[in-house]
Amino acid sequence: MQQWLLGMLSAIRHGGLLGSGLNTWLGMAALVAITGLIWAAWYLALCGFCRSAPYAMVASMLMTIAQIILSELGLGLIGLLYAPVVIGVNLVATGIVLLTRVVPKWGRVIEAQRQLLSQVRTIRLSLFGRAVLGLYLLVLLRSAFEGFFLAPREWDALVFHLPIMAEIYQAHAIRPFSSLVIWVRAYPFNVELLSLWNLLFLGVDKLVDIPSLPAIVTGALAVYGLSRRWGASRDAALAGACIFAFAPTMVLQQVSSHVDAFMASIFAMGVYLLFGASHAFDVKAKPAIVGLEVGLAAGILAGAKYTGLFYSLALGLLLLGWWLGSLKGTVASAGGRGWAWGAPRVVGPALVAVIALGAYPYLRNLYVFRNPIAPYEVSLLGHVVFQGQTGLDQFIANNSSPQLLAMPIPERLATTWLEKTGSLEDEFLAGLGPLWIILGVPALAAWLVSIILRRQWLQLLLCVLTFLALLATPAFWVPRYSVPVLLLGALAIGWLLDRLRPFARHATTILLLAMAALSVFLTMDLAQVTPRVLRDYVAWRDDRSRSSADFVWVGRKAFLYLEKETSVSPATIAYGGLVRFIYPLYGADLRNRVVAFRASDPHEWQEDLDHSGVEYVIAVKGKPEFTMTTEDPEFQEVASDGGVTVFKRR
Amino acid sequence: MGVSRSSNEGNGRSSRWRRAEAELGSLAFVALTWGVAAFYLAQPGRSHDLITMWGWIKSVLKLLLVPGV
Repeated sequence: MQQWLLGMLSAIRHGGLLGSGLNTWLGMAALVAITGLIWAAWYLALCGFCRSAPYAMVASMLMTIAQIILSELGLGLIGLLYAPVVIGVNLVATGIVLLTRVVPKWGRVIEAQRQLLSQVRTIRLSLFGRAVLGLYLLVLLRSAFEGFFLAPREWDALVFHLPIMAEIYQAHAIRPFSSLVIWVRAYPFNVELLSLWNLLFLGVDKLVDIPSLPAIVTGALAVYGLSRRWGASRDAALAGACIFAFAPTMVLQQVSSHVDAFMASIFAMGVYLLFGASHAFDVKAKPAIVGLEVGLAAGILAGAKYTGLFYSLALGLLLLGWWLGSLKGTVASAGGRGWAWGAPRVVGPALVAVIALGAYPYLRNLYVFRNPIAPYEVSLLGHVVFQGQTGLDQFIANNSSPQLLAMPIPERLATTWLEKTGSLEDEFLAGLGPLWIILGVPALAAWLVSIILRRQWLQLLLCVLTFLALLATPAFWVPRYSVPVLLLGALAIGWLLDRLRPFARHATTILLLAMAALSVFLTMDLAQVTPRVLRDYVAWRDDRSRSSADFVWVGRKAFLYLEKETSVSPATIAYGGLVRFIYPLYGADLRNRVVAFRASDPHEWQEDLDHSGVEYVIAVKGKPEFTMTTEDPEFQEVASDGGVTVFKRR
Repeated sequence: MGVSRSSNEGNGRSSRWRRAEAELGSLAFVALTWGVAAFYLAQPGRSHDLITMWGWIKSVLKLLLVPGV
């Protein structure tokens, strides 16, 4: 402990603190400042014609995410994805927003902020509210600690999410990738672009696994806002938001490259921005802006994950339902000439936004693989429409245990929703948390009966479309694939709590707090990271030595050998088939160039290695790359572990 | 201009009925949710979670409190 304190004091003298150097700290400050500026510009712009501060906050987060993704996508497609260019373009865009949307309405913007401040001053948080916010603060502190000190270490992150980010970062361009891993070549990558945004500022991968954090926090705010919009009291809406925010998947994926919690949050934001619009906006501004907002959410979803397409479609249909429902009111009067004039104003911006944010990966896949959702085969009525390498049945088998698959679907849901056998951190068997099954499901049943009896068609449409999107998702019984459904449980609790008798309300609130606390407590330990490793990372590692190589599942010593050898002089590394964990090969500061070749004979393989100046080859025993490198006299075996072998050029 | 006696009785009955419905519904909801909570906590997954967490806390305490570990 004493040594550690002395080391820390010594680092402070050189501008370093907690294992991060001055450059990293400056990078983090710039990241927070510039991202905050983009958000603030959109927020102030929206305050110019929006009456609800939470609505403006949620909408501006969506705009910020969309702006960052669009700028990187655009610059990547023309090969200009360099940090100064990306940051410069975003600053210019933000300047334009400020000059055209904020400055002309400055008086109104200031007045809106004054009103908001006076409203905030009148809010007296209940004990329940304070307890909930305290618990959520604990969750955020845990995420900040984990994101700051630990290296990315999830299977999917190391296999394809972060290699996608690394490929784009090193190429300064977005183009078809040459990876041996099909997921790197085919997967949609909107969330990876958000990881890249963090990387561009820091130059090390310190914060690349918290790309979803702002969206997840804002998603909870959207759930709260929607409950309030539909008449819930402050405490009831907060209780509803707990179902969403304290689900273990939502907590754990705050620091993760997985996109499920991000997807659920963007879906919740889209739904809130749609249903909250009639209250939030002046009549004139509404249709086009609502169409744009919903389109942005749908586009971000489509470009984040294949199954995001279902929720993207659900948002589109909800927009259509909302627009048809309000034809007699605001939309028609805003258009002034009926639905024929109103339709393009709503649908047009939505379509443009969806295409801009979501179309690229599908068009690329169509061009490269002749299949927009490669590697999956697409069949319709027994006919193969798009050829693929694998089917959905394989995906389902990969994501469910044989015991689970042997059960009928209701039993599968009961097993995973009750989290019977799995730990809360086991994403295949658990993850929706106690609040969902204990409070969310019963409340949802009651809410569904109520909205049918009261003929609340838009609410019913939301429930039906969310369930349809859920059912369309392959292996929907796997909790992390079904997190968007938490939104319905959350809204149901928001509706129900105010209707309970006082004794029942108190009993439910106590149960809710206890289960939220249990969820938080049981997810506080850091999976795969023993306290000893954690101490090592907190006390002794710096940004370069906090490496994902420590956490690979297979061939760890081989990866650590490469990590050590390349720490001083970066190298070009070639990898062979079945080397799954590609990301650690880059190094925490992405110093190494990582290449893959599809050589069919030893001569071609050697030529590829020589031509690219490869200094190390990492290959799995028995694979062609292993055999061909063994036969190459210029390479010698230097490390091997678990069937993974490293060769070094002599 | 008064309200008829039968209408008053009807309203009274209906409001009593609504109150009883709300009481019963609330009671049923509380019973159901606390029952599900008890069942949820009794699952093997929870004891696994608690054992794992306890092991983790013990390790942290050991690292902090035992010199030289």
